[in-house]
Amino acid sequence: MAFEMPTERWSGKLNTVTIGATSAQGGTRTSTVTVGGETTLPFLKFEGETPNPPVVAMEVLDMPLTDVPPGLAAAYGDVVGDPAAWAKKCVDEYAADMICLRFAGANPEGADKSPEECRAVLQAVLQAVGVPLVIWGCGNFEKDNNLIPVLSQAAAGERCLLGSAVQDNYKTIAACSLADGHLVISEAPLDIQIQKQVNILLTDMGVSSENIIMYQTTGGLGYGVEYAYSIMERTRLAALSGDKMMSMPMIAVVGSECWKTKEARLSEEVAPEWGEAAVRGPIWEATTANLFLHGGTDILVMWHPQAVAQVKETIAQLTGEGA
Amino acid sequence: MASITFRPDNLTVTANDGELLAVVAARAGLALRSDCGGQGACRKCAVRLASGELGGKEGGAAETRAVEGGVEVLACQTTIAGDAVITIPEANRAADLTPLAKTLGHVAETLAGQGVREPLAARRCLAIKPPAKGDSIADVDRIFDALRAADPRLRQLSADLPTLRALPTVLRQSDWSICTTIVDGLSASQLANVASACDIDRPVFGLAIDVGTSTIAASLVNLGTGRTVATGGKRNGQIRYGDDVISRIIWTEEHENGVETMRRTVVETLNEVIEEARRAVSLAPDDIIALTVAGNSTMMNFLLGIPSGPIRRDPHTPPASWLPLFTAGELGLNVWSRAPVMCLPTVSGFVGADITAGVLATGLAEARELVVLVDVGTNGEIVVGMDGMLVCASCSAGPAFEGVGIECGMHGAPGAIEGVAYDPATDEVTLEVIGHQRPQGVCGTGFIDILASLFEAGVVDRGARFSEDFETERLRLREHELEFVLAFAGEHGAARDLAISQSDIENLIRSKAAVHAGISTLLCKLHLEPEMIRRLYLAGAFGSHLDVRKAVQIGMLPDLPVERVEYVGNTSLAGAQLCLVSREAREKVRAIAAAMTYIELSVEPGFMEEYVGSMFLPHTQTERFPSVVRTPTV
Repeated sequence: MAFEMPTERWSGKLNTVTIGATSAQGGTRTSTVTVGGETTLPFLKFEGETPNPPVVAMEVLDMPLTDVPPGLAAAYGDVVGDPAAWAKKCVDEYAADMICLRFAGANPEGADKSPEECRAVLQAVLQAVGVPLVIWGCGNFEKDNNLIPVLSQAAAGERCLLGSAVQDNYKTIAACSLADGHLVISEAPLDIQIQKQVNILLTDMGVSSENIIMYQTTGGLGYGVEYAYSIMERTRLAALSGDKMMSMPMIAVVGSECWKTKEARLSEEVAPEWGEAAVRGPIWEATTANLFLHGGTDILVMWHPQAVAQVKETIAQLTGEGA
Repeated sequence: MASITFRPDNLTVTANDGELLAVVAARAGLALRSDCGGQGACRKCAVRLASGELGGKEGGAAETRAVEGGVEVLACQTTIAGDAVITIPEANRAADLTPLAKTLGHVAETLAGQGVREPLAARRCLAIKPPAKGDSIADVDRIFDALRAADPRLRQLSADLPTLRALPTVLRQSDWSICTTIVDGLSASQLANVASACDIDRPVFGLAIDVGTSTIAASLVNLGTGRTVATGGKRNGQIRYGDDVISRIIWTEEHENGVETMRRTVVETLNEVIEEARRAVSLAPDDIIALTVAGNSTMMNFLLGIPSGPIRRDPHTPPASWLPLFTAGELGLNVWSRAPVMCLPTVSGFVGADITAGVLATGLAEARELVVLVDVGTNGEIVVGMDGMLVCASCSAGPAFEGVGIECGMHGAPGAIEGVAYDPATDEVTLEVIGHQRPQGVCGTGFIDILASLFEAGVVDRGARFSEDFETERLRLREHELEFVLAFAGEHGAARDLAISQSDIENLIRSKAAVHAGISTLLCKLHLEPEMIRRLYLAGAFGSHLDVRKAVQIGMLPDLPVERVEYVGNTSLAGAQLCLVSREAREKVRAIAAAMTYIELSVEPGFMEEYVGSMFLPHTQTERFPSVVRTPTV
């Protein structure tokens, strides 16, 4: 008797979300990215569909990368002071599917760049690359509420992903997405209930649930990722069970979180027993990203080119014909 | 028989000629101030005679005083002499005497059905057969024989030492015609007093008390008829040592004589309540001959002066689940010093006598279908009853719905806003105020209405945050925080602006979330679904009437058909009241405590998540509230 693989039949399906708009769609992107649409747990090809493989967005800052290990700084060389060149290098050399442009320099506690300065950066990056963009504010509510509308308008029609809407501050970003045709990142502090609450608040504002990507504030490997994994898995299970307010694809911020950990940062002089730093750092980032892939993340925001290459390889293996 | 109408409440009661006006008003639930104790000195009970006749206390005509627009009389010095219409000035109402009676409708029925059967203490006047020559039967046995002959339901009798000491003299001085006081103990009866019949042959009263963390409530009951003659409430004086039981326990541990201070404080408040109730119907302390007390485990401990440390530490053990009868004198309560005090039994450190009383009052133990009792006090307790099964749990709801910790909060006393409706089209707020007075603050039902109304109008979003772009003058920024003005000074007669702030709303949301999460988690633990609930009793001191639909709309209660939910008011007090007048109730409440299973929610893994899910309007799982429909803000 032939062996029959037992399979689960789910009633739900993840939303299919396309980020970026080509000229035909009212934007200027040369490529778009489509995620979601899964009808099963991650990579269970025998059970359901994974029509759109997960993607990697490489992160670009509006300010130079400071305080990072030499291996990471070297990977980008001198482009890190120039967001447009940095983004272009990520796309051309490292095959980034998307660019995540984070306006860390706008933070009033840091460089406190004006919305107009930030707009110039955004425009330069839009010019330099053709892939879709994630536009992420600085995290200061008051500043973001002034900044995001300017950026949103400058990228009107590009179907960018705007980050991020949280429980205490979601209205401006929701209004921007409605006005300028963008998508919204709905953020929660590693809490499945609050995630759903933000999603509902956004849809109450009129944002279509098809235009939302979910984000839980995860850390790097060794810093509570098991909990993050279980939250992601439960989110996917909720979606597959038919919960429409939890059926959005997920994004995870891997790079900046991993490169905060001492395991990724310490040099071999300080921690010789941990092995070569140039290898260890990228492995730390790739391992975290792989874990989140298995949790059901659709968009991984990453930093180190070696880690990106490794994760893209893993995605290809898990979703390709041979898998 | 005269008909007396009180304005502005428009309450009409019947009264006998010669009855004191103050007593008649109190019976109508409109107790008057009486700072001098009915001596006619303080003039705080002055009322207006709108029409009709009144008499003087010592006969003759009533003493009147002409005031602007009419005549004024002192209710404590004036008697009924035919039909009359009386206007009570707002300032002369006993401010803290809450009209709780209206909320006890359910229990009043139970009480009426049962009547008075073996009250906790009773007085009986007897003619004792004096000893004849050669008849050397003991004095006390002569009394017992006479008592048994009069009441076959009396159980084994004994007499206490003070009674034995007084007995030989009293019997002979009173010419063998005596009045006895019999305490119906937990397993036997006791002769607790003898006196000459003429001294005390008049009605006797008992007091049922609910010692709540925030509010102490009491009912004065005529033990002969079972009728409630006065009911009142006061803020628990212990609030100054902390809003909730945990902070108060910590206070007792960190202060020298902390337990004793806490005991004295609650006894002080209780004595104030007793005095107000007593004065309302002009009773002497000795007229109150029995007390029953319900309250959570910590409050009971504080009253008895028992250290409560173990209650706040895992596994949260109470000192005793049931307690013997005490005397009022032992506890320092200003009623007849030998009045028995029954403390209702406790289940666990966090499910106390208030809940066993509630189960008794609502008949949960007899339920054949799934019935749930939810008692929202400073701690929220949930009891699930079905076919004899009784399972309970407790959650920390906080005192928000009792008006504590909210700037405009107050308890359900006259002047409290108990109903609120906001119409965004006209920007009008409609208020219902207890006693139809000028509004002074908001009580629990008012808060439920506010949340429901602001949510429905879109003034707050589902996360209960004010929408700063909502256009109304009522929404304003004060001290870096948004607040919504329910009544501007002058509007509806308010003396000052009455507003509810964002942090007030967050406080209320946390409370309602704890209650809902408690219900859901307990049902889930028992593999029951909310839809299976046939009846849900909501108890608590919210106010006099509660709109169940709104409690569902804000997600405090599961989305049940409205007719399955009943607001039953203070069931802790009601249960204590039942125990005051019925031996059967006293026996039943002990059986209830023994039958209850306690489940600790804080160790249930699903509780915290359910709680966060409930901190939304109505709930994160909107599909669980199909009846709550709201148009999105945009």
